[in-house]
Amino acid sequence: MLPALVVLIVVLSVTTDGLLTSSNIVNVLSQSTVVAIAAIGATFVILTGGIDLSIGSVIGASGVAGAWLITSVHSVAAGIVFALLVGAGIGVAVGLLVAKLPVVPFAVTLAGLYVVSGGSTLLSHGRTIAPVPAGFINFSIDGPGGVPYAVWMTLGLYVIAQIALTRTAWGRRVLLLGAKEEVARINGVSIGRVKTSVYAVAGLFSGLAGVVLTSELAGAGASMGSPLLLNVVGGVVLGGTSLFGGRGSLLRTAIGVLFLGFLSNGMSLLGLASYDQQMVTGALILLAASADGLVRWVRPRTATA
Amino acid sequence: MKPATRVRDALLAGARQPLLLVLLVLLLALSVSYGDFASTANFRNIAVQASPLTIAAVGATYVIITAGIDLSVGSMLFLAAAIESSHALAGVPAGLVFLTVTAAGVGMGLVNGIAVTATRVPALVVTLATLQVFRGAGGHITGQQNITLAANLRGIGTAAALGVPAPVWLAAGAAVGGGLLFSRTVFGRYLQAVGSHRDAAVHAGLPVRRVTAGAYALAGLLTALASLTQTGRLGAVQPSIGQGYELTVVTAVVLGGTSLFGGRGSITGTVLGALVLTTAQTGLVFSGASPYVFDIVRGAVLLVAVLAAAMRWRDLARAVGPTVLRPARSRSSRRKPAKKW
Repeated sequence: MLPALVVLIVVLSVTTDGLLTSSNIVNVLSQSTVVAIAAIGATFVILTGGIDLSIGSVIGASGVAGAWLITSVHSVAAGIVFALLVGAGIGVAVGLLVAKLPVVPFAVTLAGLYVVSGGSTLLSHGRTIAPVPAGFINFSIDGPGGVPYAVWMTLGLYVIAQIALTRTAWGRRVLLLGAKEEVARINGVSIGRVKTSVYAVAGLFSGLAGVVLTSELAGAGASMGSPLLLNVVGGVVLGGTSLFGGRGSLLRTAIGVLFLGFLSNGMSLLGLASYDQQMVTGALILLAASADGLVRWVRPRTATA
Repeated sequence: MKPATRVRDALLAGARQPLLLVLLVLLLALSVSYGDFASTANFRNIAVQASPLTIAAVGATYVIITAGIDLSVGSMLFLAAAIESSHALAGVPAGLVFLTVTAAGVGMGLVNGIAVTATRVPALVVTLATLQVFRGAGGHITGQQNITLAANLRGIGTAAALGVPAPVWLAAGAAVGGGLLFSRTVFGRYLQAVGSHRDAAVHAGLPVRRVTAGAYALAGLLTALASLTQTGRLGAVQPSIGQGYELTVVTAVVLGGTSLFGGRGSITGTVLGALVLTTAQTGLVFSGASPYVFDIVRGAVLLVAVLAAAMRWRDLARAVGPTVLRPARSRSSRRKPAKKW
């Protein structure tokens, strides 16, 4: 996927003005943070061969929860903790349903999507919750070296998550479960616990993404996260993490998310309307996903030959 | 017929019946609770409102029976409506417009179907991507504006014959035709074979890819028809049309007893599912609840329907014994969800 990212950047820097200026690169990075953070959690879920469609609505719900506490008790720390708790709580609930019952994850998370978004819209009366303190907004604007704190934090999270995936027992279990559930079970992996944990992690990161998005938008609305679902799943898929589970990494996800970030930035610089951007993004994600499928389709044949 | 199959059929038939009961109880409860509910006008209204959903859900049933899924249904509805209202078709006779829109529906369905069969990318991801593509294309055509439909295009949603509104005729046609196609044709048999055991169907020499792509094409066609009825009734095309429609459609289908694992399904069930959902929605309107409550309700209903199906499967496994179907806690049942998300 890295070559594709390079090609995209070369093409866009030739066709547009100012793509590779330092201010625009910081721009791309800070516009990608919310999707990037949520995509960490989504990567773990997809690595187990699952899917979480509720990510967008959890971003909205936890953002609203956090903003509500921040505006009502005037404590940013309490608001952030509450948002993370809401995200993780929903994640655990979804994870338990997926792990304990013989139902498809997509049905559970699709139902979860609407229950969560309906619930949070209802509780917030469909309003945007604002204003949040200036210091909190600064988190996604200011930072060392002109790069926002939110971007630095995201970079740190990717390093930690990659280490958690490759260097910890939990990460190994996630990969093994995704590659071959039977083998994982025989080797004593508690399937239910690992499955629950990846959805809980996805909920936690969605909660954090909700906090960062609230800081970016200087307020929170229940529906603010829903358009992000395709970019989150698309970033993971574009990066080359297999939808069948077992193969993938956070590094790939980072590349996929950056690809979408540069694509959307470049299309805006080219003056494409939002609906045209939607078309191009959808088509590219489909193309990338088919590439992954084609490889899998060809491989077993060459293996048996 | 083997005894096991007979037991299974009996159980499935029994499992489908409760929905009719649910519908009657729901109608009775709402009629008792709200004085205005039990009127001819209201029942007529429910039937008309349920029509586009019924038509689209019959199409989705075919897709789900092949163990697939179509999340792009709401966007297809919007793109079909956008094409119907486009400048290019202004002044064209209604029949020709309807034909174009229907053909576009088949085309959209084929895009999904070919992408699913040629690449074996999970249908979920294919249709999540085409959801964006179709909605973007629809936005491109309409410029994200509300467009009022020409009067000659509204008849399909507002006319009536023999005292029955046109949408209801169309929904009944889709249900009966769809049911016959499912139960009386080779294509219908193939659909079930592909859905219940894809590999076995491949080995038996069935045209698995063509059957699967055909299911998506049919879903596209029926979604276009649903779009024509819906927009005809509303008289306008709005950019938000069809948003979140996939949940309503999937819920209607699953509520009707069609398995998300594929292979088993019923058109009658889907029609009843669509009626139950629409009645519930109308009931919520009567109760004065916020429209967001319906989001929660249909999400919860989907969850309950999926769980009920899982439980039914478990009872079934116990009833027919371990030789035919291993108990739900066994590996075979646990492996199934992983295969199809």
